[in-house]
Amino acid sequence: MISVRNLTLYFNQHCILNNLSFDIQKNEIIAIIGASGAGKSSLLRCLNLLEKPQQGRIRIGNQEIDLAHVKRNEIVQFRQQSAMVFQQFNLFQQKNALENVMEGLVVVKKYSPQQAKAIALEKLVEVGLSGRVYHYPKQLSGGQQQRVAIARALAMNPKVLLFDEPTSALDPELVGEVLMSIQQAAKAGNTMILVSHEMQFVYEIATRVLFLDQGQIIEDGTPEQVFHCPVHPRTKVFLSRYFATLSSDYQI
Amino acid sequence: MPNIVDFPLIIRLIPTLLAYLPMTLFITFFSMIFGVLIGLIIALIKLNQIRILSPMATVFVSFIRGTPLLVQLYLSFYGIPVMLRYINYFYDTDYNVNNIPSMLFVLIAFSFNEAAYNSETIRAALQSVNKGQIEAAQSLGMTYRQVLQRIIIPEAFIVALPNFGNTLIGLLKGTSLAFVCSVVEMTARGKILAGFHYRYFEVYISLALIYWALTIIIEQLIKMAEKRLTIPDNDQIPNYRRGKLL
Repeated sequence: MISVRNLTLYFNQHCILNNLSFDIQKNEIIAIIGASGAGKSSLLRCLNLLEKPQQGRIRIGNQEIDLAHVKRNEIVQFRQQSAMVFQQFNLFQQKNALENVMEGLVVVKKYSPQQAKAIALEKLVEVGLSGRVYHYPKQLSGGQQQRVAIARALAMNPKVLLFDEPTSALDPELVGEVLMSIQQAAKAGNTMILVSHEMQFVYEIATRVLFLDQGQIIEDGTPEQVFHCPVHPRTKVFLSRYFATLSSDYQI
Repeated sequence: MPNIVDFPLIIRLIPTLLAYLPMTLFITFFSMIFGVLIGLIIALIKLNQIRILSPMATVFVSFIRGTPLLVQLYLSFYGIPVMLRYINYFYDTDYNVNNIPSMLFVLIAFSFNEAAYNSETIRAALQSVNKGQIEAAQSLGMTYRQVLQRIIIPEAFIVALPNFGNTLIGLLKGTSLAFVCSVVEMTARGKILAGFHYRYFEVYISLALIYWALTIIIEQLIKMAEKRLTIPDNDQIPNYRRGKLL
């Protein structure tokens, strides 16, 4: 469903992603883990072309682009294949929750306002925000804002949902409600790629885990394989440090 | 007591002067509209660093801000006919220079003046919009133009509004210079009345009162608009926001 070939991204001579290639099947739930600066978010942003890689090819569904010679209208088209949920929510501040979800449907998908409203309401109910549809982002808690963002992404009915550290900006009390909405989206059969530091959650929800280090995928397997029997020494160090931060009676 | 200041005349003059208020408001309104539109275009040219146009915009803004409005009005008044004569000469056309309405000179001068000042305000306002929102809009598949129209400009407008209020007040008072292009608005009318009555001080007091009152009205309108556009911090959703789109 998704195939990435030789993806290479530089920021001012600095190599962020180094010749990455991988495939993702429909309905897979991919978790990308790794240390800060490993290139996890950059990889996700490349799939949405918010970063423009210098070379490589990406195919999502039926649309394939050659990143070295991509045209502007191709970019706009390609972005509609995926939908992104950001760390900082990035809701439109001047629009209420309902309008935030409707925006893409009306402007990009050209639905009528009535159709868009019906879909938006349905998605907002799914994420448990039926009572807050007319509230504006700054009147919502962080968790509620992120759930609106998830509804906004779901409403576009994308081929793949991209989550860029969706709970990192939330205080611990609000993490749960957002994870629940993500889990719901996963159960509904969406293909998802998730960058997260919530290892417990990743372990429970992901069907496949990629470990990224210095712009390369050094581990690729089921959560059991990657968490319990990592192959690469770098992964072992990363995970052992992670487990060390957990209390002794808490295990995955 | 000698009649040094004719106080009743001050009051009596106000309605006569107000007859020319529509002219003043006409110049203010259209110059502001064109000023904001041209200012937006200049701001976008500068922000996107469009080749050739971007340095031209910089020179334009620098020139307008570096020359008095009065001089700009004269430049418009004498410059446009000169340009027309050149056009007639080179393209063998036969436009009559004397047929150009004076109002055109005034509107051009004021619009460009406003545009130069507004362009900086608008540029700052556009830059103040959180980059994350722009990325979110792009990631939905919106084109640059859609992002600009639907996300960036509505938010930047609220940031720029207090500044627009300032320039609007400046412009309103600036229209009193329009007489140099032989357009009769409130101040020009006042000059004529002053000569007629031989009462200069009284006329200018009347004018001052009118301009002051207008400025207060504009200030209040801007304040109201700001209040309406600002989303409250508390849980309340004003009714006029509830009905939108539904």
